[in-house]
Amino acid sequence: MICEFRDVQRRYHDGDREVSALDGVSLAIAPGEFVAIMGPSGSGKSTLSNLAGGLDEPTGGHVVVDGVDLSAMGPTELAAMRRRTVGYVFQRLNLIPSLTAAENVMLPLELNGMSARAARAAARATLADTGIGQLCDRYPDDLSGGQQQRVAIARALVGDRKLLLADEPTGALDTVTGEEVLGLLAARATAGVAIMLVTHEPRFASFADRVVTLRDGRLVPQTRTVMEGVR
Amino acid sequence: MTIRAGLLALLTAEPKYGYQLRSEFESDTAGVWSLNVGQVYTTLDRLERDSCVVAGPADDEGRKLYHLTGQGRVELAAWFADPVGEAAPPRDELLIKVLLATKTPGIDALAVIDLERQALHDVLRRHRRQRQRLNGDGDLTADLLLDALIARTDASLRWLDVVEERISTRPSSRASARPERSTR
Repeated sequence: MICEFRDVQRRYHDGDREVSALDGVSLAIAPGEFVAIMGPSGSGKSTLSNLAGGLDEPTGGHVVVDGVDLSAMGPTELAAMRRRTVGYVFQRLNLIPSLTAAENVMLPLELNGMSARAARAAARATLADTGIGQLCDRYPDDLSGGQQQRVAIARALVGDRKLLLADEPTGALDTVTGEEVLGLLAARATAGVAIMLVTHEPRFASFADRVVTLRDGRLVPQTRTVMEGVR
Repeated sequence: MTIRAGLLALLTAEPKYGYQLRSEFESDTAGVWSLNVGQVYTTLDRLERDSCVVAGPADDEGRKLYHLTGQGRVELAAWFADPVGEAAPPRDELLIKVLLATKTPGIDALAVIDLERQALHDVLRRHRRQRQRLNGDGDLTADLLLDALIARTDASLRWLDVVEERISTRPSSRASARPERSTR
């Protein structure tokens, strides 16, 4: 398993009140598996994604990424894990406007200490994989919304990361462009990257191998009893 | 009315035989609506009676070519110009089941929604795989049909989300829909 949640809880204090964002969630994602997380607003979808990326800590249970329990990691190791193992794609792309597409994608590799030459080669190869190899030297402002999202996905994947966390990555895109981006994510999953997609769009979730639904911080079970006393 | 207009539409390009109209109706609507031979000939007879088509003389095998008339063209134009809209709420089993689930004592409406949702996600995934298989073979009719099926399934799933939101925010129905949780 590349990502495992073991009986994970996440509680917040809201004044005197304790709010449970996640409550006893157990979920495992295998390498190359594409899982969509759905559920109403406030059901805990983004919390789950943030925990997998080490951007948040559970108040109970364990989050294990690539075989390592995140709670056992110090801040430096956690930062390194975030740069090497996990990639993120959000609705807000956070591309740096003064850098070209290739330079944006190179950035995480250079932060990891890779030489500029090697980082540039890797960035160009990853941009080619995401279908925009010919746009490496363009600046974000000269790219369409769909192309910018492809750059953001390339930046999230570069350096052979094993887990891609995508939180509403299609929020700003029209349906056809959104479906192209999802097709690209599905292709990366086929190539072995595990993907956790948070979305409220059923048509985008349909690209995933598996859809799991959260309600009030709990996973909705696959089997349900609909009528009291009748099995 | 749909079959009648469909046959007129197929005759617009050129005169055709009855058996030909049947197979083209099916292929042009991606097999969604299959016709039996009887339906085709009954409809053609009525169209002939109403002067919308004329039949040519029978050939050696007894087959007749049907030609579109000016009257047929007028009727076809009127059909395309008259929006379908929606006359009455659809008698849709999902709709009825979920509406009743929110009212029937002892039924966990959210559990019903969860099961329907799972099934619809599976349906959507099947449509998606079908789309991937078709990718690039250029069959516009099949593509458009899949778009329609995906849009409908997507709409049903969105509706279930709205139902869940409404019953969760309405204290009275929530109480009957499921037991209150203690952790929140």
